[in-house]
Amino acid sequence: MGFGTSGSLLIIFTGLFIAMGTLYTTTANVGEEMNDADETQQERFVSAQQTDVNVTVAEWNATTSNLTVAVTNTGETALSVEHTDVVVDGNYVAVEDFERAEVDGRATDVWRPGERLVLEDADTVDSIVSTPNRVKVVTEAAVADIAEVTVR
Amino acid sequence: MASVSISHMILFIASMVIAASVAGVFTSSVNDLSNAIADQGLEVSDSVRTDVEIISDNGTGACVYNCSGNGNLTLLVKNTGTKQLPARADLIDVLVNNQYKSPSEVTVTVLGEEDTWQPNAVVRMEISEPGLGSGDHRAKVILNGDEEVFEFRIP
Repeated sequence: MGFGTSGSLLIIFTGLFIAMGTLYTTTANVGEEMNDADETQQERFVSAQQTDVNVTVAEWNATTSNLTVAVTNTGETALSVEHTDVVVDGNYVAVEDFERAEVDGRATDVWRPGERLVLEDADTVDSIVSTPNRVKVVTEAAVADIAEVTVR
Repeated sequence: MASVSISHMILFIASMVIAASVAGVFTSSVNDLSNAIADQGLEVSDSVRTDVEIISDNGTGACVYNCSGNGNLTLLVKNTGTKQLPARADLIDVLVNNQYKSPSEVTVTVLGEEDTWQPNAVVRMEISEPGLGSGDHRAKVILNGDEEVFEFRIP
């Protein structure tokens, strides 16, 4: 009986050890994944809180059918030009569709606080609307500013 | 003497079999539990990483409804989370004025240079809603547990 008891206990303890190992690995991985997701979410919230933009110019040239939009980064965080979106009268216009996209005169993707992004479109907006009324500029954190278009 | 040894052996084998069964059942139950925890954890993590914003302009002069004259509500939805999302109508729930829209009534198109709905990419949702009268209306988009409401007025 002595061997039987010891052998049984050994088998049960081995089973317990394997099971606990599996459980620990899973909970540790899941915990890490959830912590990571939570941290990313916090960073997104902070980034959104620190983001602010101001559309200073939204001008439509009736002669050339060009739309010029100037936006200043009035927040505290650097933004990406590539991840900025423009909505003209409810129609989406990607930054890539603008012939000119310059930050303080430079064709760069990094749009730092205080800098001015100038977007100039020659044909995309013209093909969607005859005379645009409103321009909405949306940043990567979805913080946006809207301006009425002035016709020149 | 021999009968004692045989009975000991039988008892020994029986105890081994019982111990192995107990350990087996326990290990398999804990495995199932681990899989459930992993699935649930990934689901929660996906839900936390998912964030969308409706960036359509609902101001005066901007068009959101019947823009092309086909009775469609047009919503621009930006992926502001950190996870690639499925740009599929059957995985996005849409409600217009508290009425569920079936996937066949919704068309989702990824805009810009992206092919998939990556973080920061925008999709256009065309929701078939013919006959929407003038007045205030409300659309709701639900994806991975993230809900966004868009209110607009038809003049």
